Amino acid sequence: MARTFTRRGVLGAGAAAVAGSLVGPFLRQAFAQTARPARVVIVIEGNGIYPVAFLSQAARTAIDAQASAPVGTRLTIHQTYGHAQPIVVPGSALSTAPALGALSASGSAPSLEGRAAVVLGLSSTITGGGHSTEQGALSCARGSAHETAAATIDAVLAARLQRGTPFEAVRLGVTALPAALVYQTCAFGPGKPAPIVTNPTLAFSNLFGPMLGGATQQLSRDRAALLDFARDDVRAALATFGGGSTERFKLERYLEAVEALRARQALLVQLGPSVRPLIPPGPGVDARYASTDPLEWLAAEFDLAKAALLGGLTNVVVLASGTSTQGFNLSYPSLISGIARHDLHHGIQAPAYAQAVMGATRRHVELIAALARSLAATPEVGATGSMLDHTAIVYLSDNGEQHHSTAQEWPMLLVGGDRLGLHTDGRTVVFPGYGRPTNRQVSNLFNTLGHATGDSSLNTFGLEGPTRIAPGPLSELYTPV
Amino acid sequence: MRLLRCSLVLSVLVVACLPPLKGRTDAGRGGAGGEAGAGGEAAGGGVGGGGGGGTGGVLPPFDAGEAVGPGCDVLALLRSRCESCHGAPLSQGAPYPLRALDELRAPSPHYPGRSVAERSLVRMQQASAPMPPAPLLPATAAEVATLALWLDAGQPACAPVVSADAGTDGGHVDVDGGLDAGVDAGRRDAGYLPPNLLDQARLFTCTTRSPGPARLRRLGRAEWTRNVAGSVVRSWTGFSFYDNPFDPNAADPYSTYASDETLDQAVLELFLNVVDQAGVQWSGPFPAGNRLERLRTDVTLRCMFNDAQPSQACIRRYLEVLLEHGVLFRPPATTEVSRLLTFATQVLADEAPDGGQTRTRSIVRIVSAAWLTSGALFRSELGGLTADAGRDGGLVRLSDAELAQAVAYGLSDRGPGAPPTWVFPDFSAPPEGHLASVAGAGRDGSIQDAGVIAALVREHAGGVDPARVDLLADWDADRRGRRGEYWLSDKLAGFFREWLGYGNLATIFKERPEATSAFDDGGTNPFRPQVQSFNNLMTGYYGKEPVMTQHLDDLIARVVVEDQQVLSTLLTTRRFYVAATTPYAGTSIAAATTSTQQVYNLTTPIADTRTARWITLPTAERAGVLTHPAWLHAHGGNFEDDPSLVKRGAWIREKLLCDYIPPLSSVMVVAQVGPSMPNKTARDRVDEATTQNPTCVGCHRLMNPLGYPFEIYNHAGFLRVTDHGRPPSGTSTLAGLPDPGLDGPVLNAVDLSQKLASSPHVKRCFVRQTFRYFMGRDETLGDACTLVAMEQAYDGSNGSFRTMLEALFTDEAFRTRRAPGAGD
Repeated sequence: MARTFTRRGVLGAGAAAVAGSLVGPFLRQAFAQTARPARVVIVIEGNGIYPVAFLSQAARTAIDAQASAPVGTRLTIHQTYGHAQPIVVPGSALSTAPALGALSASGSAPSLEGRAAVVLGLSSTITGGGHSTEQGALSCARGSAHETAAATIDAVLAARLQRGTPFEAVRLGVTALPAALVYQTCAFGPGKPAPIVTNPTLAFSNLFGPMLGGATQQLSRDRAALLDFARDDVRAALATFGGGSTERFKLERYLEAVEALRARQALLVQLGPSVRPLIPPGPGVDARYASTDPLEWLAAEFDLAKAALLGGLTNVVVLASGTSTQGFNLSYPSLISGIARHDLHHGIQAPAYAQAVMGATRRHVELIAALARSLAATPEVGATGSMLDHTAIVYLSDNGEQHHSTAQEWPMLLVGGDRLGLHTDGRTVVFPGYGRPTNRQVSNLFNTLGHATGDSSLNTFGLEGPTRIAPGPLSELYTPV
Repeated sequence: MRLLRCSLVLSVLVVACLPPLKGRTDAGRGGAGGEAGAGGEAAGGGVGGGGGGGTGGVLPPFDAGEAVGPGCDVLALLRSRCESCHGAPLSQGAPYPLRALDELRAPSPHYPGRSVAERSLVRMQQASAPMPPAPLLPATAAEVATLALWLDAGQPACAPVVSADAGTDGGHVDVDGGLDAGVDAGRRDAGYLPPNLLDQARLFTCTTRSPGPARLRRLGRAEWTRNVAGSVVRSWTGFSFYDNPFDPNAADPYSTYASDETLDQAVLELFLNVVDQAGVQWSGPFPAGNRLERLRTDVTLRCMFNDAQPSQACIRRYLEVLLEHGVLFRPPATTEVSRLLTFATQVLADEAPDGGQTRTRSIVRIVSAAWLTSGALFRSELGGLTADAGRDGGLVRLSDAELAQAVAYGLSDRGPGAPPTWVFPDFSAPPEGHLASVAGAGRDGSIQDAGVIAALVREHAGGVDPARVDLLADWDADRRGRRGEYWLSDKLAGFFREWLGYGNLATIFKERPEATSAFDDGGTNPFRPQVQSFNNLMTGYYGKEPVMTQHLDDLIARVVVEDQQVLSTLLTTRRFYVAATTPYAGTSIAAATTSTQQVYNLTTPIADTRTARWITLPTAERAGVLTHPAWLHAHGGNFEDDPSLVKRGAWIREKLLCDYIPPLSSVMVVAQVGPSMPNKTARDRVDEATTQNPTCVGCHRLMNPLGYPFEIYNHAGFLRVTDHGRPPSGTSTLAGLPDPGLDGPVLNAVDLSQKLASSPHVKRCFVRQTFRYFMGRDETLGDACTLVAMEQAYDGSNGSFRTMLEALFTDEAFRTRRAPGAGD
């Protein structure tokens, strides 16, 4: 009984503290973090990202200088890496890379070239490669469509970074499946998949419904009524419960959970005045919600994510496009008609197909750049610099370097987070190829994210076990601050 | 890269043995010599020397009749630091055994007036001749303090803690000092006594009975999925009810324990994402989702779908049907109906007048509410206890409904009467639902009759069905037709999967799975046929042939359905079920499907018939489930020269001998094997790291000898044809096992399996594992009468597993619970 009292007391006190702090004009200020502000945005694409998409002219030249064969027209290049030590190409004019043009300045949009970094040469063969590694990409473990092996990095980081925000993480995306939720990409732990909301209308409702009117608000009211019913039922059960304290505790914890979610519903309503100005146009207003082009849906979801970050609703975001073995076969009518992603890759020799695939990657980078610029334009609360300085954006694929990947190369783009210690200063880092002792793994990049966001103990992320090459973060990309 | 990887920590695979004492940083091996000369009595040992003599041997069980506290710490100290020399047999000159507290309490033969414990304490602090002796590290300050505290405390015994609030799951001591009710296995807090530390002989000596505690059990992941007629595999839409978050506690040895599972905020949030999908099937006779014949044939329910404003009587009738046949699987209490009626009335009153869409949404909301009730999420084993009942710690008998649910969930993942799944044009069960006979026995009270329970067990445990309707919710007819014709109920199949631990093969990475086998061509390309076919055996992505997990499922099902000498047959059968290799020959997926037989060391094609898929493997190559690639894969490493033998040996020690190995949490050293070398086998690497290392040998002597025989197979289950330049070797010498009949030389895993199959000790361990899974808790000495009944049933029926289950399900331990005691 004592422990129950304690747990519920803590819960109640925490909720009251959060609610009581909502007095400022901006929600982020209300949730001013006692620790250094830190956020992580993971953008993950299915079907692989060809390394050359991120390869600037300077990086290409540096790789060629030591490679067994020039990069030339190849899409994958790790097979011919010749360097035994990491290549670091500083200030490598990233926008000269085929998919990174959006990083350059354009009109009033400032350049992001000096606020990004490209990483090549990381491997993650524990994941198995193939069409998709399911949760393996973000967990550095062996994933499958039906079994979740380990927690993914977003969930691991979110547990530390929630810091009183209403959502531990916001996971949005698009899929080729007729499904509103995709469970194969993120996970809280073994056997505990974390769903990605792949219907922007549902995502809009989940995030902002309690703050708005109309049908969206009705769904939220339904949820509140459901939780109220559950609360009354459990209370009634507890009133007549005749079991021992251990069994009673199960019901009490359930009651706590119901009350906590109900409190979040109420909290979101309360936050309405602060967040409402940030909420983008939603379903019925924004034509993108009615589009059949997943790139349009994804763009709408980027706007939802931006509002969630600016509004302080979360510190961790996942944006997924065509992840998982079952959901990868997206079609992009705005890029190429009649051909879906799978066939595009199998016919990649055709220039039009290659251009369409590169176009999808380019569009993703454009969305990332737009999000980054919004964060860069917003001062951080409780710290110097902008929100982008305290936000690490990571763009990667869910299987590695190509459609049928070997997982021996895993290209990544990093944007922001320089005040977290990330070396997003325009450099390209190319680690030695798979099979060399100096090859590094995706898990090292995730260790780096852990360190940058305040967890210096995260040195062996994933389940690589004996296949782990080296623990710890990547010094080429991170210096503790 | 290889050098680097091998220099890293391998703590999961290679275990060093240290006692569970806080602050411990070292451990040692039994020392040579000792105190025989000047010192006297503690010669060769005293309190010191864990591991060392290389004698092997079983650790004696705790005397579970003793009290908890310092005594348990001292027992752990003896095991880790003393017993390898002061064990059985004595070695390194140790003059007497130090395996039990009584041996410490005994008078010193050399120092009149002093006990062995007092002398041991002196030797542990003696700089000139310390215990453990050099070259081992001497006793630490913490170890000295452990023994001193025990002496100061009056040399107490060791037994589980009974905490003030552990009434429903704690143990108590009966009048003759014997523990008659153990600690709930789900509670891993102080005082938890692993059941493998109990004396197996006492567990099979019936004296007194003490049933388990009255409990609530939250539904499991598969249980909720099946109760809403869902599939445990993902459909083409990507949605699955199986994505509900009701996973078991990872600390539970079996998923059935449900020890402290509940719904916290994260679990509830995830559940809310999927629960709405469950209501659609209740929205009318022909919904978009699963079709329920009950709604079509019971015309009294039509008013709920057709009337603009259903009457209160209509709503009540609908809710009673919904709760009994769709959510609770028992007659609902009046209060449960009333609460839901109030909610439903409000939901219907809120409807906008826009036709069927609104009513469907209303019903979905009502069904979701029903599923959020505590009665739906938690299964009661309280025996009618209420808040007004006295707390006398007495016995309560499960009610009719509770017992029906216990039987149903004991056999299946479904509640009694759970709705069928409709897969055009078939239903997975009659309109009255799955396990309808169990539901009926619960309704009319006949479930309290032991004979009725036994008949229900026999009816629902398994059988033969070429159509494999049991898989209808998950697989199409084509896939089902490729499976073996023998089926087991969900929980029976689940028991063997969890006991043998082969359920998650696809998540275990294998580098070059064919390495060292006849199919090893030295290549590393992952798109070679042998690798593609092997990977497809994990995932089943290409084609519709069964995957390797299902191969073992089907082998086990046949043995259990044929039901004669089940354990020994499981351990020796050479009749395996495999995938056909011919159906996709010549197609674009040939590489992924035509070499799947290689993991069984077969080269001839397997035809596309059920008969052809049942194969008999060569006598020298396989014998039983422990030689099945699925088990070998599950308990193998990532690389062929990884310490798979440690994992396999540990499994046999713990799951087949019910013996104790100190947990990984007690490993306080960097456990690692040396680098891979072309001339070093996995056995070489493990031996170098463990048998030569005094901090490792204490525990590894419990595992390695039992794992060596499996080195004739590689990490993925392929039969080796060479092993780093030498012929594969599975030889081992077993010593000091709990069953002395198992001691002696072993040729390989085939030989070992045959020996294990004839061991009465192994059989009793099998009975204990069965008890744990189907009772959902650890066994205690208070369950001895039940275990005896199970063993007698098994022995008396020519080794019938179903007869043993009948004995368990009809036993008092299954049908009664202990009420909370005063103060709980």
